[in-house]
Amino acid sequence: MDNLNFEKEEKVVKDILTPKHTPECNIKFDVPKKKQPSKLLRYIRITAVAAALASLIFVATRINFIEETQAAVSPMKMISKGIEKFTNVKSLYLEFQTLERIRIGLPVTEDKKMRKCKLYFLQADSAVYMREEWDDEYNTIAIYDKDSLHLWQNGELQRKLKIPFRPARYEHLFNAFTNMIHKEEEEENGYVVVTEKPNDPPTEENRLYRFSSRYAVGNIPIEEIKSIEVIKEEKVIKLETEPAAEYEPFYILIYSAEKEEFTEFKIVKEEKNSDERTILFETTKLVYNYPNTVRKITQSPK
Amino acid sequence: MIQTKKQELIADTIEKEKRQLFCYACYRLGDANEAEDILQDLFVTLCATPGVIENTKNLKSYIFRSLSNKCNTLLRNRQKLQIVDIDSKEVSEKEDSQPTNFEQEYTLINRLLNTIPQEQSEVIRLHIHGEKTFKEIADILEIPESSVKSRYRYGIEKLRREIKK
Repeated sequence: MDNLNFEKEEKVVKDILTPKHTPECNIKFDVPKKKQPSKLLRYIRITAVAAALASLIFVATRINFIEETQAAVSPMKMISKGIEKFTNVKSLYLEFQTLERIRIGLPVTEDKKMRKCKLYFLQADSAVYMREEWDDEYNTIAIYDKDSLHLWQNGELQRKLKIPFRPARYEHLFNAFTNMIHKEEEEENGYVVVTEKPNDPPTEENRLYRFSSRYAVGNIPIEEIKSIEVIKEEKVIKLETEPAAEYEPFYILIYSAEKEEFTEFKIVKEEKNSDERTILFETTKLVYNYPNTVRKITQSPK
Repeated sequence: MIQTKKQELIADTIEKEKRQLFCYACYRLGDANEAEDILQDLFVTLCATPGVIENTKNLKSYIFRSLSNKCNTLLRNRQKLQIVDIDSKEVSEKEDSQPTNFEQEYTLINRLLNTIPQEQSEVIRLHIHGEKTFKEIADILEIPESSVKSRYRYGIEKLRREIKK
């Protein structure tokens, strides 16, 4: 192909490949530019700020703030506002003795609506994440601190779990975990229960499983499940749903109340036709233990 | 952790290249949140061990190379989803129209780029999404500039034939 023709062809291809709907990146990459104070002064500052933040958390968990939306205020919002007041900046780094660094952005947009923001805990040897997500109803926050996950909801600590997993895996567990909290209050829509033995209805005595999927909005609605079958010695789960189901699960966590552990299943194959959609999940070797944290479910699948 | 000049340099470089890095990651991964996470992960990793940039000749290229590797690792670790869609007529009709949002655009772009060898699509991604010159791409991929140009040309020609189908 000669150069002139190539340029014409290139223009056509570039026109298609050039992005026109790229989302915006909301992260600001910076590090504080300041001189290191003397060790004593540094220690005093760290202790003072830590104490101030601890006070804020203490206060925030014990006072309900009534806003226009009647939603409770989370501790992290209080901390963000407190830090703004102390330092009069929109984002900054703080150093603590246990948590190395926090970068905090504004949790509130100009029209006073909450938006997603992230808090990053930077450690010497690895990074850990905390994602702050705001929901008008639940105001749920999960804080990952080295090896435990703290889950706050509406300003109160709901759960504290020991979870030995790499930080990069945090997000799906956070989603699954918040789904568990949310769905306890929406039982007719929330839970999907899988019994260990196929076709057995779940009871208090049976070992009960519950679902959560990473990308679905909430759990898979129970009315969309046609059948669930655990096959191949619990290594594969076959899930049949209505074909119009809009969720796109990537993998699911199956909880065993008896073993008090989650097993992760990753999607391996999906088939759909006009009558049904079948998804096969295969277990990975990842198993998470959540002792004494999940209530048993007694709702039967349709 | 003590702030160092190297960390500041890393932060400044990533902040200046943020738009291109983020665009590249978005259209590799198909998810803006994941792209943000991977970019932040890269930033954090480099800041945690700033000494790694001591022997790098070109920090921008190093950052792009690292981002590309991270995207490859993430995509490799995902289970491959095999979708057998019997009602495929509806799908092909949708793809004919112009994309109106990021998800549709990603699907279209990714589908096209998956029809050519990865070494060619990578050059095209870095040039169009990463806004890199051929010289910069040669530095990122650590290959001769002539190889970059020929991969780009062959890739574009194949894509054009694919589009014409």
